[in-house]
Amino acid sequence: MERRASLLGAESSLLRARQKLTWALEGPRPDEEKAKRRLGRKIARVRKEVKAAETSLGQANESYTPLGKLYPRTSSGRRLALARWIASPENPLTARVAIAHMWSRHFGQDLIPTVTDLGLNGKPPTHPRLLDWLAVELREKNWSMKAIHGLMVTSNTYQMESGLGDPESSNRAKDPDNRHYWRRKPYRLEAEAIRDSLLQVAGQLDATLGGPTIPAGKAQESHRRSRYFQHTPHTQSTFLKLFAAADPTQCYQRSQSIVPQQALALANSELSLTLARLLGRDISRETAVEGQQESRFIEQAFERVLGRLPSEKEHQASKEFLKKQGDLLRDPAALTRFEGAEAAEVAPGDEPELRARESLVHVLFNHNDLVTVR
Amino acid sequence: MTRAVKADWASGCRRIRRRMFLADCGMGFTGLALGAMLQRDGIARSGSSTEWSPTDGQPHFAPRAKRVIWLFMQGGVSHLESFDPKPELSKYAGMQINETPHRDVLESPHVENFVSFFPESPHQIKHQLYPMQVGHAKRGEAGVEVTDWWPHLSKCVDDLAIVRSMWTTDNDHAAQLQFHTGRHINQGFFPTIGGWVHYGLGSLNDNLPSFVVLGEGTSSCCGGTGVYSADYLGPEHSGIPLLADGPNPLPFGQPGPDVYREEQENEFRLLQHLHQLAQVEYPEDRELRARIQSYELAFRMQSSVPEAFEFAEEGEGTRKLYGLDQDHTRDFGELCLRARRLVERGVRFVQVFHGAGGAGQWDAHSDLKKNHTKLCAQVDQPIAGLIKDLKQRGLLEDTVVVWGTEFGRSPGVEGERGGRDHHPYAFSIWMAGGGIQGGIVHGATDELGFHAVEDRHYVTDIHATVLHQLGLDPRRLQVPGHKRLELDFGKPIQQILA
Repeated sequence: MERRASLLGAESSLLRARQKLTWALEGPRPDEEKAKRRLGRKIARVRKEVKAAETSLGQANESYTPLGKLYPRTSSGRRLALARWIASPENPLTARVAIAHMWSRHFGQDLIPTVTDLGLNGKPPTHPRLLDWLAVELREKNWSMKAIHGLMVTSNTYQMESGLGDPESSNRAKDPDNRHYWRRKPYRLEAEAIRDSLLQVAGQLDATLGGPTIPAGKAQESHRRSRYFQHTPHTQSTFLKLFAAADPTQCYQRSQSIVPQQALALANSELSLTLARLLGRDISRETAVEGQQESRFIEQAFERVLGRLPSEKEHQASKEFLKKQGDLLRDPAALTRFEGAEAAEVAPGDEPELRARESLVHVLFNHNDLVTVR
Repeated sequence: MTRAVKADWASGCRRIRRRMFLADCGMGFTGLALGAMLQRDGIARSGSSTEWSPTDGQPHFAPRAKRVIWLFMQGGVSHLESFDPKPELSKYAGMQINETPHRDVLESPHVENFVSFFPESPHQIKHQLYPMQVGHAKRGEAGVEVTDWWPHLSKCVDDLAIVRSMWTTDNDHAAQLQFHTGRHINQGFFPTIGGWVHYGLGSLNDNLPSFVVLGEGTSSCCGGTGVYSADYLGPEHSGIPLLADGPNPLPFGQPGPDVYREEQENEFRLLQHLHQLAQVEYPEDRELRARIQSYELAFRMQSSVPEAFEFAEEGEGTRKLYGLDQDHTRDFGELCLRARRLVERGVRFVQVFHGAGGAGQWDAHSDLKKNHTKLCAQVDQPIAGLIKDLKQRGLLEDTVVVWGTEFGRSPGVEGERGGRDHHPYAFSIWMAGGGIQGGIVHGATDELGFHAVEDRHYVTDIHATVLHQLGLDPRRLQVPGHKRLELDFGKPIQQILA
């Protein structure tokens, strides 16, 4: 608006100047020498005015009156100084904060009980020397987070057994909360990792990087990674929200809640049903060889979904399930359909045997081991 | 499933170690539910006697109440403009506290000794007195003074036991966490009162969670999900939020028509069987145990939750009672009606939140009059409706209703625009039903409403009172390795018990 006004102003002064010139040129010619010279000077002046107006119109004015306070265009260097101070070797806090957060996310336990507050109100770290050692490593490895992740997940502490071990072991009585890391605490995956894992094990994850935000409502159909969905205080994917996705306003710690709604999300969502059917079909096709087909299917299903082979008992239970479910599905007239929700994108297999296999994969999608890091 | 079958299974399994019971006797996904039910019915107890055993779901002594509805107002309701009106504030309005005859409140040891200020806290004592923002009168047969912002609840005053002498130690909104755990947030997270109740008592209905959270809870600044967590008691004892999303109270509540009910049931059975096999390997994995229970509950909640949240059968009179016919009372009215329907169906502990958003909507740092006029109007009728409704259905007798908030508001004015600041030195709560006396006021603050001076109560005294009414002794609930302090246990407020 302001630019337009100044443009119009320049145009109007050009027109006015041109009109003055016309009047001067076309007006009555005086005879007197003196008056002639005066007119000549006036014409020259008005020509200048026209020229100036033309120039000013040519340089369309880009400047405008600022609405608020203007800050200098050149830096005072203070922010850079702050940044240098934050990352300087004399300030151990930065690396400690980073380590405290990374540790919590890998171990499901906090190195600093008040991970949100390392200030005056905070509590001291449980393992101060470990914290400092890791903080120094981070700095010396040129602030490579990847190096620290590697260090943590390949550590003996990370690889400790998650069970409680020998019932007579004194660790249980001495340290029931595992403050001293005598075992690995089982840890539930974050919301995003759960959804991405389903897609990944089904071979359906679209790992495309970047791009515009995807509407939260598409989280059931889209196969993109969970981090690309809209995530605001008011609009979040319900699926991710139920698994305690990041708080959009402040996310220091994730809650590892276990609620029945999570069970329903894995059992009843269109995404989980669709992916189970696709994967069930894939494995069925891949294992379609002579003999032993059912056993190979069961092994493959466990391997693909849970990353391990079934135990003997699990194998047996799955085998019985396939038979029972197949028999059940052979007589659809005797069965009752659910009503109310939308059908999944991919319909179940037509053959009762195939549908039973998809069903087994769907059960494994709900297995504790898929969402738990041990 | 019949009783006879239960008993048979129980006798067959009694001599076997608990983990073997789980693995071998549990048949399909009902097996574990059965285990829990047997324990609750006192039929089966855990095996070896040397092993410390968790609660058996039985009260320790004869209970006066079976259920709890816990209403929590987020942000800090002014005790002065609700249940503890102070005419002296209007008398000395505009004066500094030390210019009034009540200057000694500043000398009280409570100022220094209890409240934990954060360094640089903006919530220092406000000295210039601010007049009462609303009138008050004696209400009910008991003649209890309540302000004019609570016209409906004023009619129920003969059912309430108002405690005017509460105090807490957090001067900021993490006092919300403290109200539920009994500990300042600087000391970390602890089991909440709802968690203790869930841990101490079994469910009255296996189709619904026994600890339900309604309404949007505390934001992560101030305790987050910690306000209904069971913490070290294990995730299976934490509150389960049932956020009603419009017409669908339970997201993913059912699959589509491409799934048969019988097909799904088979899947749940296999899943529970596989989980039980995993449990043999990890017998004390609480997360696994919680997940097993969550699947059991999820299966049943597919039908039980929509049923509990369906208001169709509620008559016009009931809807009006809760204010469902008015825009400003509808939201909280629906939560209160849901709370009644849940306790009616056997849910033990229903925690209902009002005023979510930031640190809490009741946080009237400016224009307290506008803020509290609006918010009181939102909750007054629904809460009064809940009490009347519980009463007419005979539920109030064995349901404890607790109304609380994290702290009170300062007698002194804050800022230019008529606010009151946080005030942990004194605040009011009330309780009703479940063997609590009605129409009484317990405890008192000084003339300015600054300090709780008579029968002072820390927040855990409310917990102790609730547990006492439910027949639980918090000392007997204590878990090895987690020694609790004397202050954690609190003391039941004997004077308000009927």
